[in-house]
Amino acid sequence: MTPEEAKKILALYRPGSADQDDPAFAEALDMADPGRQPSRRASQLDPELSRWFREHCAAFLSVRGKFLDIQPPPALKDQILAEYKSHVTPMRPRRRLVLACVACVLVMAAFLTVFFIRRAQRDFSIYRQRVVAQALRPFYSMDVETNNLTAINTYLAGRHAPANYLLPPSLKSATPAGCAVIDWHGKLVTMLCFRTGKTLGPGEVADLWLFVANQDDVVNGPTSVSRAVTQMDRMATAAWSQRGQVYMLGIIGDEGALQKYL
Amino acid sequence: MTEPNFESVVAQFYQPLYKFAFSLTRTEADACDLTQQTFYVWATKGHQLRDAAKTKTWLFTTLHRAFLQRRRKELRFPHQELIETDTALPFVDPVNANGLDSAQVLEALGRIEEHYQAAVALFYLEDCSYKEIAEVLEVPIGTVKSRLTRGLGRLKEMLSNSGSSGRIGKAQHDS
Repeated sequence: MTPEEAKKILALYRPGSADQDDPAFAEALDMADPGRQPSRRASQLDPELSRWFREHCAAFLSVRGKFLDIQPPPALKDQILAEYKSHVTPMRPRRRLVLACVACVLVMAAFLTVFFIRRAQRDFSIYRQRVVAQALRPFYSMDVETNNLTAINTYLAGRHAPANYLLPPSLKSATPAGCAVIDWHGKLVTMLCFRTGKTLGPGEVADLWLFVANQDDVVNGPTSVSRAVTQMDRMATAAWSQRGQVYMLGIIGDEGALQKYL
Repeated sequence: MTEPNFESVVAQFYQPLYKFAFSLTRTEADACDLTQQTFYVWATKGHQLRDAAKTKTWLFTTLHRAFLQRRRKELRFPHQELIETDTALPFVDPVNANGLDSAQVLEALGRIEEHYQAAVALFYLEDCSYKEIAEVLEVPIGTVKSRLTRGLGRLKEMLSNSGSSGRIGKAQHDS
């Protein structure tokens, strides 16, 4: 490094500052500062550079002193603290309150969203599709296969599925075939299977079904005993409500086939 | 942040911040405003700072930003980034500097180009490393050194003129 190069570097050197330990200045300092390495021989220092360096340090300290002479007004610190107390401190509880309110609203919104989504999922129209699809599925297995209604009811009661249903009198002309318990969003639905006496198709185990669910487990279901008839795929259905339970009767065929059992 | 913490930060930094603000604005009222504004921002946003060791840099950066925002409202000036370091060596005659007071030195600082002023002020005022100065000014270290080299050269001219004429003259800008 030449003395001119060292000067260029040391022009930005500040004595008594962190620059002393800055490696960017180390080599130039070694050439200019006799006090930096006491063991260094005088011949290794550049006398002109050392003189320049002394003047540079003196000039820096002189100007720095002028900057350090700047003094803030005596009241400034108190003004800052007073402003903090008068403006910032009252803001903080208000901000916390606003944040708490926002958090509450978000939690409520999330809760309501989940609530309505779950409620929509338990809608009667979806329920009807689900149980019809269950009945029309070929080769499904009933939990109990028997023509004994008492045995069927005993099984249903043991499973805590609706067993205290009111069987329409017209269904007495059909032959019980068995039953199954369907899970409906964590609630149990009774599926009673009957045979009307018609020849069953391949894979069919019944052709007439009565589904019973608790009223509270189905949203927007029927609310009266009057039968509401709907054709679903190749099944005619009729739905009604009675004694806190939702009933749905389904038969393979059209409304005419269903009327016999209503 | 709790109130005692705020008070301790104020106690530790209000003087250097005021000095930096005053060296930029050269008026007591503006320097006080900037310092207060800086601590207001600290009170409202300082909790976002994760590294407490960066408090000083954070405060100086905030003050500098506030100063620049005020200046931009007052006037538009072309922003000039230096790429190469000026080779002219800044040197201030200590005799000249000793004969001046703070006001004269700050007046000289105020006459040099605006984008050199903050770098020069931090160079003299605070024991900031070049890395910290770069963080405060939000420019690379190379740009800091460029600005300092030029800014100190300008300041030297001002102070030399002041020393020889008894008043601070206007620098001749390099073409």
